[in-house]
Amino acid sequence: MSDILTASARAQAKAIAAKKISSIELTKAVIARLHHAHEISNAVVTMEADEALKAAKSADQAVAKGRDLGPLHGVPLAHKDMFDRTGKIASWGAKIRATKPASEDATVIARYKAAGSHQVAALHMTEFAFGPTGHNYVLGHARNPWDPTRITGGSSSGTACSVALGAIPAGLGSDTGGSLRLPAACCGVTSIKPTWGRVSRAGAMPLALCLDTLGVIARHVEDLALMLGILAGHDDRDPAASHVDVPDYRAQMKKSVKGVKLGIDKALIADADPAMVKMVERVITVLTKSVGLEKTKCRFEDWATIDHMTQLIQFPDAASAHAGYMLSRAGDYGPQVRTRLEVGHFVSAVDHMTALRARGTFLQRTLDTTFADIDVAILPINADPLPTIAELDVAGSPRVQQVMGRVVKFTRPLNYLGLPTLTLPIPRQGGLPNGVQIIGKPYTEGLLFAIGAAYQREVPPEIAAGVGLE
Amino acid sequence: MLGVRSALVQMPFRHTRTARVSRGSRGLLAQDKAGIVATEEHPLDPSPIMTKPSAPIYSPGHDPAQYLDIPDERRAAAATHVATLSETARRVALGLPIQCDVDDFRRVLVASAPSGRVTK
Repeated sequence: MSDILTASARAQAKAIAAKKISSIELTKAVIARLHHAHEISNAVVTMEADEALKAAKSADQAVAKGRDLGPLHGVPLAHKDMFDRTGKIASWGAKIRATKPASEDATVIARYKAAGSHQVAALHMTEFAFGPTGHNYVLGHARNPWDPTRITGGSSSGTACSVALGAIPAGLGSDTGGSLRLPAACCGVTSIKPTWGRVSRAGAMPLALCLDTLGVIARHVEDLALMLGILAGHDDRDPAASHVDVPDYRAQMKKSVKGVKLGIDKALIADADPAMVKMVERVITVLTKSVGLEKTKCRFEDWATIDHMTQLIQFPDAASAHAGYMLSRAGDYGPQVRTRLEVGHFVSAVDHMTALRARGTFLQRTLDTTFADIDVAILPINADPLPTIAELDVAGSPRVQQVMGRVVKFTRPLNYLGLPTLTLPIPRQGGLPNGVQIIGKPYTEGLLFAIGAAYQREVPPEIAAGVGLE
Repeated sequence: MLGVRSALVQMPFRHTRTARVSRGSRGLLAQDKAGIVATEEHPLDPSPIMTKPSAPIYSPGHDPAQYLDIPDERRAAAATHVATLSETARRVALGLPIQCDVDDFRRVLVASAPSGRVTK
C-alpha cells in the first residue's frame, strides 16, 4: 500500500482504471495516513471519511461498468479549507465563518470532481490565508513534517504537510504573497503558482483579489501539469479568469529544456542568508550541469519598489474584504491577522490606486529588462533556513510587519507581477528541506513543468523523513 | 496576436522609455509646443524629488483608522510602516503618466502569452 500512496495522482488513477487497486482501498489508506499526518503536523481541519468512501464506491462501480473515466478517476484528494463546497461551510482557518452553507462548489472543486476525484478532508491553513508561516492562533499552529519544532510555511500549510507525508499526492492551495511557494519549500515538495488569472477564483475565499492566485501543491511535477490542465481556463464566474487558451501541459512537460536560459540575479539572491544562497547554488548546479540549462545574468532592478507596491494593494484589499468583520467582530480574529488587517486601514486610496495603475508598467519593464535575455529566472523562496515555530511566534507584536516582510521577501513581489512560478525542493543532502522558485514569463507554465520534470529525474520526490509508512 | 511591441505601443511610457534608451541620457527635459515640460527619464526611475524628507511622522492627532480599536503602540507601528510605503508610492506617482490604468496589467499579461490564442 505504501507504494501506491507515494505514487503520483496520475499513477494512482491508472492503477484504479486497471483494477490493480480499488478506489475504496486507496481511500481507506489515505484516511489512515491523513490521521497520521494530523498527529504529526496538525494538518487536518475536517475529516470526511464517510462521504469519501461513498464517492469511492461509486468510482469503483463506474470502473466495473466500463464507463469513460476522468484523468483523476477514483483518486482521493484533500484541499486547503477555503473553497466553497455545496452544503458545507469552509473554516477559512478562522473563528469567523460564513453564516450559511455554500450553494455551489467553487470552480476548482467542480473541475476536480468532473475529472473524477473526491475529497477526503479539508486541510489546515493560516487564518484567512493571511500569514506566510503556518502559525494559526485559532486552529493551532501547523508543524513541519520533517521537524515538528519548525514552521511549515503558510498559508497552504495543511496541503503541503499532507503531500510531504505521503497522505495525498496533491492538493489545492492559494497564493497572495507566497502561500503556495512557502509551504511547498518548507515541506520539501513542489507547487505551481500559475500566471495571475490562469485559474478561476470563483467560490474561493478571497484575501486580496487583485493578487489572489489558486494553484496546486504536489510531490510530482507530473501531477502539477496534469492538475493545472484540469483547473485552468476561462470561467464566467470569475471575470478575471483568463481567456488565453490552455495548452497541453503534459505534452509540454516532455519537451527538452537543453539550452533554456536560466537568469540569476546574484545581488538579489545575496540578500538571503548565506546558507540559503548555498542551497540555491546546489539547485543551479543540478539545473545547469545535469538538466542542461544555460546560466545567464539577470537583474530584478525594481524588487524593493515592487514589494512596496504589492503591499499597497494587498493590505487595503484585504482590509476592505474584512472591513465588516473588523468593525463588528474584531475580537474574533487571531492577534496576527488582526494586526495585519489593521495596516490596510492606514493606506490612502491614492497610494492604493497608484500601485494598481503602475502594475502594468512594472510588469512590462520587468519583461523588457529582467527577462530580455533569459527564459526563466531562479530565486530562493525563503530568505532563511527553516526557522522554528517559536522564533516566528510574534502574534500581534508591532514587529509583525518587519518579521513577516523578511519571510515573504522573495515571494510577495511576484504576486504583483503575476508571473508563474514553480517551486522545486532543494537537494537536502540529509538536512532540512527548503526550496527555490523558477519564475517564467506570463503563461509559460508548460516550460516550467518541463524544467521541473527534468529536475526531478535528478532529484526525485521524497516522503518526509522519520515517518514510517504502514 | 498582440506582441510585446504592440503592448509597448499601448503603454503610455513607451516614448519616454525609448528616448532614454536611445539617447543614453537621464534627466533630460523636453519642452512641447504648449510649453509643457516632460521628463525623458523612465517614468519609474527614482526622481530627485524622492530625496526630500517627506515621510510623515506618526501623530496621534492624524488617525485614518480611528474607528478601529487599536492599541497605541500598534497604531504607531502601522502608521510608520505605511508612511514608508506611501513615500514609494509618491515616487512612483511622479513618473507615472496620467493614461496608465489598472487594466494595463491584464493587457500586458495577455499580450505576453506565448500562444497568443485567446478564446472568447
